[in-house]
Amino acid sequence: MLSYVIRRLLYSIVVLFAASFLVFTFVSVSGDPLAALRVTPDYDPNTIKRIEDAKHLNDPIPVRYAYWVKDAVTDQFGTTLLGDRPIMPDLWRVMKNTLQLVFIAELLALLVGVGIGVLSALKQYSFFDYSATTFSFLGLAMPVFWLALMLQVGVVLVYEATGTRLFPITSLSSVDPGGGVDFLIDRAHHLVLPVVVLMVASMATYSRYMRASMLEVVNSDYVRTARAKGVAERRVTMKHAFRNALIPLVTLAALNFGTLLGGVIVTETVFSLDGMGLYFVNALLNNDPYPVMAFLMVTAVMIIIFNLLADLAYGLLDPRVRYE
Amino acid sequence: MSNRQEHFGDRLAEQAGGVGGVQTATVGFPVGESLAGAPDLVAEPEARSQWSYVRMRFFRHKLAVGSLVVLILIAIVGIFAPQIAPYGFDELDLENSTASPTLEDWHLFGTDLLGRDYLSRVLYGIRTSLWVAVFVAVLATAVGTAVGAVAGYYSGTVDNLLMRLTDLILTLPGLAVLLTASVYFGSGDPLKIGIILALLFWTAVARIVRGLFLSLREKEFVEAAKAAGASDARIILRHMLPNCVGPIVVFMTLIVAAAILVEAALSFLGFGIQPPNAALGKLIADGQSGGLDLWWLVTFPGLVILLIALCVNFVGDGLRDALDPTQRRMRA
Repeated sequence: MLSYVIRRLLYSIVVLFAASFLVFTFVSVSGDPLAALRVTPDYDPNTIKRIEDAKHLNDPIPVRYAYWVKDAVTDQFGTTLLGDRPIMPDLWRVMKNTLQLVFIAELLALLVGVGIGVLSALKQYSFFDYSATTFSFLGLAMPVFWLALMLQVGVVLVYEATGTRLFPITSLSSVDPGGGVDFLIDRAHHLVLPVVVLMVASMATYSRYMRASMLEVVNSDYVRTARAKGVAERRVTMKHAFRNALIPLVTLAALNFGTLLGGVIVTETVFSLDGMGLYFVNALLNNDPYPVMAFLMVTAVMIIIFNLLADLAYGLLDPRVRYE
Repeated sequence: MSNRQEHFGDRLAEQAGGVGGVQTATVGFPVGESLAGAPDLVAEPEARSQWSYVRMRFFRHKLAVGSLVVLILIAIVGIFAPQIAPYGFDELDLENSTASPTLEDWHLFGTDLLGRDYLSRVLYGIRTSLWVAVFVAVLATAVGTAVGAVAGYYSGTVDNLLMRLTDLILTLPGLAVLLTASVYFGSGDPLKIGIILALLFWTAVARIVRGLFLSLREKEFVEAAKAAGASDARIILRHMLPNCVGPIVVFMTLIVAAAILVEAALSFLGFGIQPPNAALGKLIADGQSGGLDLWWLVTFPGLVILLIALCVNFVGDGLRDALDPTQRRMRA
């Protein structure tokens, strides 16, 4: 198994390098990042010259790529285009906020989604099953940003009608959040709507998948054997069926991470949360390629780690899996 | 002589392929029913093509048929937006700004800060957004099927390249890559945005078609065709591809739904389709900038996106049940 992990990691590093080269060429062939600056009337030509030298903008692309990789590895992705701000400290800060949001949403989505899926499977074709199916279809067809906006609209309309503000609709904290428990309560209050928005699509996916997986297991031979032996129904469902039905969900949850990052970009933009998604969108708006590339590489590393963990967890949970 | 033999063998192989296809198609079809009404049992039962069975099964799926009707209506409304829309896309009416939805003057979806009628704007938005989604699905499916077929059939260098490329694409967060690509190459043009989306989606099709071809390659009818001396192109196009039509069509509908949602997100964030082209996502962004108490500007374009995505998913579901009866989920 150790050799499997090492081989996977080595392959991941190769993929990561290929991805970084792709990302770099693709961002750098697309034009001069200083174009906007050059036409600003009161900009000092010396500044432009300084940036060109610092970022090696006049070198051929492979050379620039090598410089960029050197910066990324030895200097934590270096600075922004104008050279006035190191990238990594900002990225660490927003990453902390985003991971907080993502983990809460993912955890809740898994808990609720799995619960709904199991109940749907056990009570197949019941009213509950049909409602759950309807909701997951709606959840999967709904644009994430629109759901976020509709929740905000709801809060605004309630405020206009009654004068009470149910939930904050922007930022992660109040202006003066206080400390200790007060801070946590304030943060939780701010996170309610973003978490709901981020949860919906994942929850729909998990519940559908869990339902199918559970149905398959419930109709399998070993569950019938357990029943035939006279194992109590509760024990059959929980111990024999449920635990085995859960296994495929591990892979799904890890693969879902990339999708979730897409949701984060949209959610954080609508709620103006100081997270990775908003950081990325702002970098795009500022036409600054360096934070954009740093974001893509950092998220790629995160996705690779999640996929590796999922593969390993799969092997631990399902003893039939052998790593070659 | 050898020529004739080859021809004969080829036809035999085709028949084998055809029989294989019909066999899967008739699973679950109540044979007794078609014979019950026949006056003479010796008479040959009416020959039905595989497609007529598919059609029959699809039309039994009421939700899918209903969704298809709604989709066709939405498409017609979109295509004829210039003729149907009560106002122009950019027609200002400053005396009638921020009207909430009303029957008066046909402002069913209300008007924005500049008095532009949102019903008309949404109709034009449907036109662009739906066109882009269908374009993405067709392009991604065509490219993906071609690459996947070659990769699955020859499973050599192309296959290796395809799988590595897929690894690469799965490593990067999809929406972020699309956003970056649209900023640098999109320039707000629907055609370019469509091509960028298709570039991301085709690998998924290619993977599926590759998998299908890998398993079909081992089937007897392919072997028979090969033994009869049919060319690779003929085997791929005549013998294998028709057996993959079901999954490909289903996946294509899924791409339409995914593309419409992703394009809406891109346009909403301001990196997708931009004026003078209308797009539903952009309309929501415009509506939001007027303040959230003008709720109708945000609500209606979003509802239309939801409706389209929902209907496409239902049609896809119905198609899957109709095309792949062995995988049919039981309904109460």
